[in-house]
Amino acid sequence: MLKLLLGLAIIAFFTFLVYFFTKKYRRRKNFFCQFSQFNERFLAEVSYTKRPLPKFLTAYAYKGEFESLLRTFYQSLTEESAGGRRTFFLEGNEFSFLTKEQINFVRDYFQALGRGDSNAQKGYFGSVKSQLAALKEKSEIDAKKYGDLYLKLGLLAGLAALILIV
Amino acid sequence: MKQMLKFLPQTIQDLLRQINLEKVYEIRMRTKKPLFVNYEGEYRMLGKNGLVWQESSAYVVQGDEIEDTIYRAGDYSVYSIEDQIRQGFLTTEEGVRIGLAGRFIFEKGAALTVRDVTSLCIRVPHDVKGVGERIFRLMTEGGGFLSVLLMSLPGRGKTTALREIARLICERTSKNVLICDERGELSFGETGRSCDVLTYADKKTAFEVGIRTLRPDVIVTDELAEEDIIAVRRAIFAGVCVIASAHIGEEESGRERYGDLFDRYVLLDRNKVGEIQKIFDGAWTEIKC
Repeated sequence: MLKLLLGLAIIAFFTFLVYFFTKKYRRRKNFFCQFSQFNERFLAEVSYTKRPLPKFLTAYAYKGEFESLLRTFYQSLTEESAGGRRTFFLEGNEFSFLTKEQINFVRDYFQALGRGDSNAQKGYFGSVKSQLAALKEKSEIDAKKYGDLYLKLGLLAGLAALILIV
Repeated sequence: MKQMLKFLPQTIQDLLRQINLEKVYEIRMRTKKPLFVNYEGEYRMLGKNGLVWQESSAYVVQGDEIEDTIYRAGDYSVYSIEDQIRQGFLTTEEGVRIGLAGRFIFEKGAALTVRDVTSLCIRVPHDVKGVGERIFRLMTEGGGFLSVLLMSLPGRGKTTALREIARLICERTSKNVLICDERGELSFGETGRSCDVLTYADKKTAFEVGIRTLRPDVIVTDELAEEDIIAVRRAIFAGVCVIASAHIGEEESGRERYGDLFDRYVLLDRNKVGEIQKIFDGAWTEIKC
């Protein structure tokens, strides 16, 4: 009985490790999913309602790191010091799940937000739409691929450890 | 720094701190050119230590500062103010009007937008005490309401005076006041308890819609142009009192353009802000007061 419990504990431990190691892929997937939705909404905004950015940013609810990113961006807009966009960049470990290239992409995106007339904004963010779709798709594939792979490896490692110990 | 100028880049805000902002009527930003301010009615360059005479000591405005100014003045959303931009200006939430110079883009014969903005003309509003009160007394003499035209060169306090008159009418009478604010500048701030506001509509539309649907007793409007005369005439003939302003520096030009349309004509001083130079009746006879 004790051996069975120990075995289950080892498998649970390795599964937790797998969950931990694959977290960044899930975060990335959720991030780009939210980002893509945001871009769709923004394209509709510049085409029709054309509300000012501070109102648009607070009009919809977002989750996780993307919500945090929007909050930071909103603060950078409304803070007293000059050059709102220039003080905005992704800092710290909060966005460590993104690659350097992806961080640059996100920064460029937000630096262009609200900077032009509706035609220019539609043109720019319309072209970004396909890039975002590709990033979203890749992040979903990665999350699935690495999630499954690491889960199998974790289970195998757990079983191997169980055999060795028992 | 005045709250209303918070949209300016930090560097320019810092430079403006060196001088008395109460005396600044206009700020001129031009890409890669010295920063100018209209200080007590005179254009002067601004440098690190305040007003300067030498161009070499003046602060040179950068292109991205102009871009940032528009971005911040437009509530970080240039796309949301393009109706104004295509007319060559934008008005901030605080009622500061910014004129734009740049590349006009046309589509189907109409201006679509202005891109690559190279110059900004920022008009700093001021309180002009007393003028509004005098004109209010002038327009209500005899118990009725007279139509008045305020004339002056740009930047001599016409808009501020009109704003004060609208507020006084609402405060002291129960008349319905309609502000036809084509540029979003006139209706800034507290507009009064019996005041209706039509913003960003041309005079013809605003007068037509306003008279038909809002039944105003008084219409207050800014910067009449020649093409607006018909709309004003219709309003006056319909029994509506019109208080308006026009960019006219000489009485001869006013007489030539407006004839006997208004009951009173007030010419503001060309050298001082918010000072009345002359008052005329409808027949252009000077009234001494």
